[in-house]
Amino acid sequence: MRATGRLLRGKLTYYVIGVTLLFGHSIFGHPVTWKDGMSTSTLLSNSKTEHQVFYSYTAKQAVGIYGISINNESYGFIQKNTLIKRWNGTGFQGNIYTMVGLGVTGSRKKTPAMHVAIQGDWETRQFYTQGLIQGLITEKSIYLVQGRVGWAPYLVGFDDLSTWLILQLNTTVTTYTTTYKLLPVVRLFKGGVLVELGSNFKDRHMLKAMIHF
Amino acid sequence: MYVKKIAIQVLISSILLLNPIIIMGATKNISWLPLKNTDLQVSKNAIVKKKVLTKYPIKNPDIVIKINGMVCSFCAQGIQKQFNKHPAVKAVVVQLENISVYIKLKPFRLLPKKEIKRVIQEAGYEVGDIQYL
Repeated sequence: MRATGRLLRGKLTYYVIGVTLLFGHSIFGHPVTWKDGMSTSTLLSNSKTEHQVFYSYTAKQAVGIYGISINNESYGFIQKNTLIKRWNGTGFQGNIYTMVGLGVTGSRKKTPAMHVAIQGDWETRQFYTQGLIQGLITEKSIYLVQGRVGWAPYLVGFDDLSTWLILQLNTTVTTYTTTYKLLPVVRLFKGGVLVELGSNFKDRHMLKAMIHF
Repeated sequence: MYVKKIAIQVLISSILLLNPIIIMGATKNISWLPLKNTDLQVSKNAIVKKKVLTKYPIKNPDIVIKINGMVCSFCAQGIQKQFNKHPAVKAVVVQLENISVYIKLKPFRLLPKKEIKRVIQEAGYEVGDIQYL
């Protein structure tokens, strides 16, 4: 019975990962910006907290620090982000990124940790999809899968305030549990400043701020 | 011969006679007569709109660049930043609506295609078309 449950959970996880890969990408915004570009962001939510600062030394490579606190454990990494592939088309852009970080856990017993992630997105001026698979590899590894679909209710110019309505699916897989959370998010950005507010109007809330400069 | 002449005259007369009716029939759905003030306003707006669309966002730009993949203003900040720090560029304006970047050069400065492509690539995009004005 337990084996069947584990098998089903495994299949479900693969399904979620597959769907997320199909629908594209996540938390990191664009992990690589432009040559000599800096990016900093903070995410606060019920289930986790994230902070990161990255410097793009080319348009395809960035280095920086990434910190995450989840499931009563904190992690800190020195990380390299790589733009593997970008599709620039007339009216659309698609990206695939990888992220590899080496660091430690923040608990009293400091243990080595590794962060690996793959992220993809596809966007036009009015629609976007995003997907992320993230692994925090330690003695008790955690895998996070996030998928997003977004829609802009109106089109704006370069200097105007953009608004996106996003539906976000978060999946957390640990050794013993798999949890799924759906969250509506409003994304606002103007210039190099981006703010995201998410809430299911019950018990889950999310705030994210990102600056590109 | 006489009959033929009469037939032609009848035909021409008929056409002349029926011509106003045909014209009226064809134009009966067009409400441009009499011309109202609102119609004039609509026409004026159309002209103004057309002028705005053809007008450049900066005064006398030297280069217009079409950029592939430019869909999001948050991500396209890099294009503006990369051109702004270029020694040959005096002003740069990005327009998402027509995926274009308008460049005004400093006096006696040049920006070759090769250099434009390099700057755009460093911003993470691809050049679609470059037009020197």
